[in-house]
Amino acid sequence: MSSQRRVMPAAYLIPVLLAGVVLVALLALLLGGADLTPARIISTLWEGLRGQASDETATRIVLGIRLPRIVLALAIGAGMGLSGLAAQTLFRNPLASPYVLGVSNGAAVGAVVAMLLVGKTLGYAAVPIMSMAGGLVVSAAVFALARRSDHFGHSLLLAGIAVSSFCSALTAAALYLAGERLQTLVFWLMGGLWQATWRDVLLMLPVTALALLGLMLLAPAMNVALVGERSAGDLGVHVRRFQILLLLIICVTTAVAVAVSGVIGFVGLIVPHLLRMLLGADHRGLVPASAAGGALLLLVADTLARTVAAPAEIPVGIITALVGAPIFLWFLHRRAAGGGWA
Amino acid sequence: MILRADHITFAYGDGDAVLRDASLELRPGIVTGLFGPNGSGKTTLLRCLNGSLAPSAGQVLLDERSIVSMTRRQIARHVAVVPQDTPTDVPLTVRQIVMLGRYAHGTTWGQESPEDNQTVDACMARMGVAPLAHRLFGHLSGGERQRTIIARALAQQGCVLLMDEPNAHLDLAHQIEVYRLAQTLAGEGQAVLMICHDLLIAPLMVDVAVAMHRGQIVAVGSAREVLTAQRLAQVFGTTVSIAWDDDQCVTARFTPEDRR
Repeated sequence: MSSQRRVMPAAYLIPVLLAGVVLVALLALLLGGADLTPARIISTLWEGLRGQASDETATRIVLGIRLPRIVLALAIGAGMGLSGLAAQTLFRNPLASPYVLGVSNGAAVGAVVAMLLVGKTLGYAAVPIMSMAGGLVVSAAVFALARRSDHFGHSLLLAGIAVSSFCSALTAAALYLAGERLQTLVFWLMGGLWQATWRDVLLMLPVTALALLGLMLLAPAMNVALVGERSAGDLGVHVRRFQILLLLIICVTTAVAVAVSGVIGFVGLIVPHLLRMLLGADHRGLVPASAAGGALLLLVADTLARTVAAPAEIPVGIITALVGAPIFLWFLHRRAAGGGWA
Repeated sequence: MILRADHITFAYGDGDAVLRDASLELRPGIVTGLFGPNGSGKTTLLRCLNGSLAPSAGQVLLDERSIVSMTRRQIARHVAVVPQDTPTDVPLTVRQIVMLGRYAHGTTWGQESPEDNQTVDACMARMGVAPLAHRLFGHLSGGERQRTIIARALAQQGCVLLMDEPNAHLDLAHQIEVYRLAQTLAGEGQAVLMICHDLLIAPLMVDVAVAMHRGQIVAVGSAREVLTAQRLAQVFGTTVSIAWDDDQCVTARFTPEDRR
């Protein structure tokens, strides 16, 4: 491989990704079990925009089921791409993802507890509230364990792995005790968007938007952070404050994503990694590209999840891994000589 | 601008002090060489001088303003550091690395200004790394990496330059280049501090020599005054002397005991 770095400008790739998002979103709107013509779907959307509804069934399917699911997939996918990128920068490790912090597993514990114990008393809100609480409690625990260290990133990683394993054990214990609800829990843990509602969208979309804005503002500091904690401080970054902001973005985004969709793996790991191979490591392009790439990947995966075995539904986490892993390996093979990051 | 350490003491955690009652002044136009064995507190002193470490006693003042009261960004606009080590697994090109030196001058969204681009190009040219601009940092030789890091420090356009063993990976010609660069920068009004291990070229190139031993500054003065055989024996624990010829050329002489 040449040592000259050849990369694609982000200004070319991001519009391509966004065009892909629009095309797949339109396709996803057309696909589904109900026999609706494109013309019917477009007119339903138009009527929905004007606050009218001449066909209740079409309105319910298009505006109540398909559209919130599409928007939710985009918001969660973008959030996962962003939190994966933030985790890889925080740990200076291209194989890091929000999983290593234990946030996903903490959120899963919260959700499983909610389903088993308090679901009926808290109603709809139980799973998201307990899931977010679980993710945030784990984040706080990991942060408290690591905060006194001079090597915050490394300590955070070690504490995250330990707490994550502990949470996995708790989830496994809960599954062991779940009895007849085992299948529901397992299906939920595999991740999926089949229960998407506009309430979920209202929860996830602002979080993703804030994560995008926050990381766009932090992008110059994320570039500096690539040269290590000590040099980043010498170059003008308030390293501890920067790390806490990244941690906050990762934890909140992941906890809310798990709360509304279960544990969907792989998007946060592969999207930033693939884009870094294409674009280089400049975060000013990587941040928006990771949001767009994550959104596109999850929407493709979710559309496949609900159509390939229709009327049955495959957990989307299985699709993201099945689609993502071979692409990831192919890129790794092509870039084998390029070093760990790219 | 004058950077001054005023009777500073520092200890890592609850351990013993690794820096004790150290006072040092870095003035514009002066190249200061910091000499001492491994573990004598040189790097700790440097990190206190740029505010990365907060002394447990005493203070560091930049033009009489306490450095711990300044933000990291404010410090980086005035004080640049060439660290001892930089990770090699950095997925950035030489130009991107040098551009990081402009972070402290940057805008909210981090767009590069024409001035940033001009400064970065000039600093790369000055350090001879302009032809490597689009090479990945990890693909460079040790010397090329070091010159890139020095170019990054120059791009900060500070008035104080702190270099921690800048010659560690450089061949003789490039070592002399770095000393000449330090002298040129001092001539342009910068205050320069270099941590040095070489006793052959450095004594000729620094204006002020500082000797450190077990966390304390034991001598400050001209290299000729400071780097005496007696003090080198005290500081390094080995019998080595520097002979100064009339034409200012120096040679290091080991005693026969050391040879045996």
